[in-house]
Amino acid sequence: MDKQALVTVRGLVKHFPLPGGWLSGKRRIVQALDNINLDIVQGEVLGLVGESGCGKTTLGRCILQLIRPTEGSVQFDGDELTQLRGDTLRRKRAHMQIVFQNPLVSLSPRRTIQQSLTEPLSTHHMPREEWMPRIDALMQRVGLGIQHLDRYPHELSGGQLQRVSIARALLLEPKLLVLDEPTSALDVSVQAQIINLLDELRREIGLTYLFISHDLSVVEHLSDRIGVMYLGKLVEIGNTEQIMKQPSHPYTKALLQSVPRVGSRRMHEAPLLEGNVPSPINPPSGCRFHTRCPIAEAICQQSEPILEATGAAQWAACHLTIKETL
Amino acid sequence: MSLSRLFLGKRGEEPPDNDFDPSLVQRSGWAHTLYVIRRDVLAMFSVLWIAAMLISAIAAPLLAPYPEQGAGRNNVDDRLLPPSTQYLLGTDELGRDVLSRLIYGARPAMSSSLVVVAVAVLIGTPLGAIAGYFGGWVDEIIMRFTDLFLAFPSLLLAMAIVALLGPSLMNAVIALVASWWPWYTRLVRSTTRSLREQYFVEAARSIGVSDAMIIWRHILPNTITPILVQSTIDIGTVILATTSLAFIGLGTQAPNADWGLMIEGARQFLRQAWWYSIFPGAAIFLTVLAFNLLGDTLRDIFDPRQYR
Repeated sequence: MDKQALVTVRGLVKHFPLPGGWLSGKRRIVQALDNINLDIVQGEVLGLVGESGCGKTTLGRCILQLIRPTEGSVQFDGDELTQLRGDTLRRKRAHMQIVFQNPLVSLSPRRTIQQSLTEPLSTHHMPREEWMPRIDALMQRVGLGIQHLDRYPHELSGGQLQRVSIARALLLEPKLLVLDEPTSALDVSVQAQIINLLDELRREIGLTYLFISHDLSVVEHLSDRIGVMYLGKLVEIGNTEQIMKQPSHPYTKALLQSVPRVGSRRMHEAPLLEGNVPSPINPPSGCRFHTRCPIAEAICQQSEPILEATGAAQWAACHLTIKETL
Repeated sequence: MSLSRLFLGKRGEEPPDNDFDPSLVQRSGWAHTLYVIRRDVLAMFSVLWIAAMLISAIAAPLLAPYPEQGAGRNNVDDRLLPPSTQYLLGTDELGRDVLSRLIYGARPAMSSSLVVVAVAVLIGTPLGAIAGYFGGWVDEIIMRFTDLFLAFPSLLLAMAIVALLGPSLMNAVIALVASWWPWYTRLVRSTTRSLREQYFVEAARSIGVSDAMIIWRHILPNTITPILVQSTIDIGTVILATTSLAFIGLGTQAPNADWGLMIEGARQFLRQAWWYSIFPGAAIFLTVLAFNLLGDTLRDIFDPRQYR
């Protein structure tokens, strides 16, 4: 990479212990994330896709230390976040913000929009005379007016609330913005507006996004690079164009097949995925995808593939694609 | 263009409100509460009765026909007279006007129950919020401590404490606070535990808000509703407890007026003077009932899904 990485994730593991099990002696564990390595480059939009339950949301939370990772390191802007505690971590949060999926539940129900928007500013000790100018400017920029400031969350529409959430996240001028399915809870027409707003904002301010979504078409529109996750693993990562045109990993191929496109000829090239995602409590041996993979061979059940280059700026974790290209 | 199927809005345009759900708009809190209470006959009775009791307690010397007797002065010439125009609800064994005694008896009933519940809420709420928010060993310590108090029946514990401190209304209040606060700790803890998982709490954490401020700004305001419902019902229960303590001689002391004390005095004259026991009994019954009904109505208003 010629540009500097803003976030460096190395060997990130997150296990969630399941309740119960101590009587039988076996403590069951959900392997939500398993050995994730990735960089988020300054100024880029990294899209993260995968089926629900694949760990993409957990990865976003672990990067921000909203959930503490079990193992591994997360470096942000030169700091090792996993080592930070208490006040130091809280001060760091001004530089990394998150927008949640459902804006109605991510704003305090008993606080007005203005109270919700002043909170980041007062928390990080901004001079009081700067509060209102900043809030006014951002409200206008996200397409809302001062008449919305004294409303309560239940008095605004989903699209308006998501604009408020974005404004709240941007008030402290963060370097990194994690967008956790920011459009999934919205109507289709409103989705497009929010996507366009996010696109404009990052061009204007030079933000770095980690864009988490299960909707490939939305991710494609916004992202410079795309990471594909399956059952807690990063199975492929690369430039958006390459991933979309020449996917290496069979899972990525299947995922692309599932996106309906007008006038596409690729529709019948490969069969769609069958069956359900296996449980992350007992993930399959070897390659986690082998149970549903259309081209799986014996080796896939035995050894776990690692991310290897399959193109100029493309990496995939699959035994068979690597054989193909070499 | 994969997004061509979507409507692409231009910058600065007012977003259309097509995902707006009008059913989410609530009537403003207090206006709605008053509206429901006015339509509900039982709730209306409760509010009026409670208001009457509060006014009696505050303005007892002005309302009582015989204020000195209400305060305790004997009038032995008129012992155990039945209800008449002179004594509307009759007289007791010391010739005191029962109505005046009842009006003065509203004072310990209302004041002690309000104080007990208020102090119990003030002690129980912060402990419950801390236990519920932090979890782990903090939760473990606080909750085991409350279990210690909850292991004994409230009234029994209160009796033991009063017996230790000596019988008086003040000590009865202290004893009842000691046995009532753990209930609020439990209530607030369970509410906090579910609030802690809400996205707006995570959003506050992601902004960098400290734990103390999260509890103060985002948790406590959302525990007020269940506390309000529970404390309304509890005021009735505490009135029952204070009058019970007075009945067995561990609360208000004669010659001060107290509904429980009146019933205790009336016990020997059940056959001769029905009015002496019936009226204080009815006062306790109606007041406890009123607080219970009002609590139920408030619960219905604030949480219509669960109880209808």
